[in-house]
Amino acid sequence: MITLIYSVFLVLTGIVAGLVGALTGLGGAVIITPVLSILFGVPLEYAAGASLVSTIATSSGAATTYIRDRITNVRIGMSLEIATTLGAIAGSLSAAFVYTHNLSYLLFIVFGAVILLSVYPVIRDGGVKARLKSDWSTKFFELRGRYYDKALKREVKYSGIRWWFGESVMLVAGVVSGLLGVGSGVLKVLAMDSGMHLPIKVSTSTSDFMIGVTAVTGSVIYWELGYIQPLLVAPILIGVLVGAYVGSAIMEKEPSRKLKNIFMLVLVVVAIEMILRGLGIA
Amino acid sequence: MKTPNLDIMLGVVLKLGVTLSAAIAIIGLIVVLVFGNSTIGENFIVTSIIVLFATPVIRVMASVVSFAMERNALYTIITLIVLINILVSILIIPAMVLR
Repeated sequence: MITLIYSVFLVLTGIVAGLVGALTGLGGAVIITPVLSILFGVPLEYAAGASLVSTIATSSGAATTYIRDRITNVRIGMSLEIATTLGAIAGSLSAAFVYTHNLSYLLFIVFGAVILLSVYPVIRDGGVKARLKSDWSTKFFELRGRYYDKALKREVKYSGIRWWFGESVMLVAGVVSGLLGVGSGVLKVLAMDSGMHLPIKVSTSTSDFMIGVTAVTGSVIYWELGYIQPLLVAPILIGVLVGAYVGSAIMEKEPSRKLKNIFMLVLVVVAIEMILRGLGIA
Repeated sequence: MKTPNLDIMLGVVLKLGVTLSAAIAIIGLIVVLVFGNSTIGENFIVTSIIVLFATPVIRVMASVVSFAMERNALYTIITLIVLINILVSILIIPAMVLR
């Protein structure tokens, strides 16, 4: 039986996840799943289900911002979603296999490793890139665009390259999303930023748009398997939306480096905790 | 080029969808926790989750229409493939998994 106090703690968890998401650009799942599974003792599949649902909320909730600012490149996002949605189907089916065979300790280890990998790109800085020579995919997939950069106070024109490379990484991102119940935003940003040579702002904003489409593909499979528990999802969902709203309202400018580093340190500890749990040590 | 009004309208629709979903979830949670009726409360929450699931699907459907109106054949097809992938996960995979 779910109690009022338990629900209040879940809402608070959601708020923290939404805040951290807004401040660092990482999705809420890296907070929600470890907190639910380690602190609350919620089985990993239910924690992952709740995270996946909150990822959709984060993505669709940010829609007005990314459409207004015109930084999101819907074409590029959509062309890459072919791979992320296929990956999400494969990933969520794999998750189903893992959970029904009592192998969830494996996912604790993978989850910890994914959090550790997520930390690096957040610490790294991204500036304006020199334009590289276009390749065939630039032309074929129309990997071009322009946006107004508020910080630079000028319009930035850009073009992307290596679509196939980006698409391949997106397949992995989709699998990770379905397997762990996360948005895989970090992998998506890496694929577009480092792989396809798109500006970091375009990559981040396009990733925010993409995670919702990826997450819903995995979510319906989680749903059918009963991994989405209404009484767990509702308070988390409400909390995440409040946290994301407050986070974006108080953070007009980029958060300070120091604040980011503190968050990242916390995440490293969380990641180690997850790995130890998976290994059966913690 | 796309008409900006359609884009902005879509953004508003998505945000409304998320807000509506959250509102229904709050009602559901109150019904469970304050009035102690889990069945009715959970039905509300399930509805809120379905509304939330609909938001990215609407986003993709709108993009299909938008690319078709631009007469961009390649991207109309690409977006249709994405839509088919989502529909497969909704309609076909669950039937396979639950066998």
